Amino acid sequence: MNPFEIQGPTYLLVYFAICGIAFMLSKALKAYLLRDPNGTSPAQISSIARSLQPYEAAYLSGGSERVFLAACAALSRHNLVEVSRGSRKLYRKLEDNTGQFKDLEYVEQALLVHLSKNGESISTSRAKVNNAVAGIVTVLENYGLKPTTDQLRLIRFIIPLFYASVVLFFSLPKCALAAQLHLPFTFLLIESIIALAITVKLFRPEGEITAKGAAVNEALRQENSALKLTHSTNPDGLSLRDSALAYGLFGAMAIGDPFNDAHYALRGQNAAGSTGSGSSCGSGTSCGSSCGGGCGGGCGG
Amino acid sequence: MVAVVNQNVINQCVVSQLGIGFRPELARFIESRDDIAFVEIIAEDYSHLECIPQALRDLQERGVTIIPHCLSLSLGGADSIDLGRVKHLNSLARYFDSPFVSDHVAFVRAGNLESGHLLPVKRSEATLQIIAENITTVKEHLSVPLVLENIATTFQWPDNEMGEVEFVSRVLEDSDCGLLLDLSNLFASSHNLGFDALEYLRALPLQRLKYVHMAGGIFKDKLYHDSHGHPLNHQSIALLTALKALCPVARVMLERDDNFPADGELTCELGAIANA
Amino acid sequence: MPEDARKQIAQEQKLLLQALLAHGNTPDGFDNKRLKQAAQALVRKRVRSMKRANALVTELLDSDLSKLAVLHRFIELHPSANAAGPYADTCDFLAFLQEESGLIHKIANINRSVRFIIGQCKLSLLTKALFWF
Repeated sequence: MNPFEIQGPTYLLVYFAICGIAFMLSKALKAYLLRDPNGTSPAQISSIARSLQPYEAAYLSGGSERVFLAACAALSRHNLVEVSRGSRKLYRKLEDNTGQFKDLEYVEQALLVHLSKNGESISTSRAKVNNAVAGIVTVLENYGLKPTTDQLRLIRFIIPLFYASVVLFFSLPKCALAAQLHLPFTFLLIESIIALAITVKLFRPEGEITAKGAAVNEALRQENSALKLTHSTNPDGLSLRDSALAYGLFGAMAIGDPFNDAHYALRGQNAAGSTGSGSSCGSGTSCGSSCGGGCGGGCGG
Repeated sequence: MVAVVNQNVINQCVVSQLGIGFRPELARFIESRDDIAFVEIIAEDYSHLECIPQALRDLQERGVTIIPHCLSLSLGGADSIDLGRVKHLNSLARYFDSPFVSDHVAFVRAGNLESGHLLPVKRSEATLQIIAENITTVKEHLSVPLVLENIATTFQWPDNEMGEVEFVSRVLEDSDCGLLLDLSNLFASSHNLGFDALEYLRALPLQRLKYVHMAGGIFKDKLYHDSHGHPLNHQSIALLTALKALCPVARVMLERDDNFPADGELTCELGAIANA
Repeated sequence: MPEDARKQIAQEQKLLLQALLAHGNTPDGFDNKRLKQAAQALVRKRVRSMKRANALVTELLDSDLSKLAVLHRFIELHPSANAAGPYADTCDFLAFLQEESGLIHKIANINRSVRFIIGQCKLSLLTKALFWF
């Protein structure tokens, strides 16, 4: 029943290696399924990046959760929505008396229509935004930035199935045999449970993008480095569209907005911030802020 | 009528490059403008080359000239020059392949006190000698030319041995440096100290002019403060027009360090500078 | 230039800075009123530079005006700006705030929040690295 005649700790190591190889194979298979078969040129990638709307870019960068964060944070930044950190509710601050909401993005309209002055919970608001992203998904699929339904099916089921099969094939019989012979198999069991947890992780519900989508996302981030910089220092000077694009592409933390109410409130569930550095001295960096003055005079009232 | 025509001819012949002080708050605006030919960066903002933001590198790739501008060499100070600051300035100039770097005819520290701002020096032969020695030291560690800027001030030293323009001119001649003429500083000092800005312009060695600063300020308690946080005033623009009549102006730039306005206001100010 | 002459000017500049920053006597011949105005302007510029240099200082000052008084007291006690620049100046101020104003818990909470968020981000990155590379 032990095909390799390998015992105890040695088998654990071999099993670990097998899991690693299976994982790498799964990743390779996934990368193959998400590849860009047409080999889109950098110029085309750049062109697609420029044609995307802010919330399409947000979805590409972090799925529907990022779209929700971007909408909340941008509308909050422009005083159209108030986000309560404590009650974790969203409030609409203005009535649409002048029809100004018509000029907003569809996602923003969907959120504002849903909200009232008495406040709505984050979960119901998130659901409304999730419903509104269907159009965005279609656009991204048409560009080939998001996998098709067939690709998704393969990625979500076939790959994890393959990985789980390997994991179980090399652990279940061994565990069963060990149990019969009253030999210890706890470590092998733990290792296989961890490996299976990885399998579950492979069933990601959403957020998958193709290689082409990743390239467009990277192009968007590169081309909007100036937006990121300005948003981290002068967010109030940006338009609603630029705010949404900045939050959508980079998340609240990466654009130096750790105190953003929306980020705080949403942090309770699947905070969409990505990376960045805080502003406290403890961070140890002196980048970006060693001089705050310029050579202007010390007045200004 | 002839004078007007000549003026127009001069203005048309001399097409100034338009620039702006690069601040993170303005990165998005600067990126969106195709007519920005150069930006000036505050050297102290980038204490390490790793701190240089991608947005600045993107501008460089686009062909925008980047000029490091220093606030803290304290060229007019009697204390010895901090060579670490000079070397850092030089490293920025090399990184960006800058045509020159700039600092001020001023001092910022003495003893153990750091003012955090540019202060006027006593206009004397002894100070001229100190500045000349300081600049010699600085130049030894720079691989690009040094350009010097006039500062704005609300007070002056007693017993000055010469006027402001004579002093600045002597500094430039003695050290063989280029001139960064801040017209808003000139307006501020002329208003606060009571001299004629146009006469000042005419007396300057304008053949040394490398570029021009323009910035907004505010009147407070009868003094004009060059705050860099308020709209550009018409007096500074009038001085730019006068300067263009006197000499070719290769580069003109706008500085804004605070109360960052909407893009439209900045666009108007850049337009006013371009069309002065 | 003779060393004595340099020392003489250094001394004069030091006296001027003491008058501008540290309530020193106005040196002979200077316009007292103008120096007072310049001194006020220097404080305003320092405050503005610090706010711009560190978002945490802006957050603290905007959320509680009483901290502006603490900042001014800090400037009174530390008349010289940090030679390393406004960011270093803000670090000095935050340390002063923690020691002097009895707001240790508040600061600590904010620092904890920032550290927590950074920690989460690092964890998220680690997770991504683990699962996707």
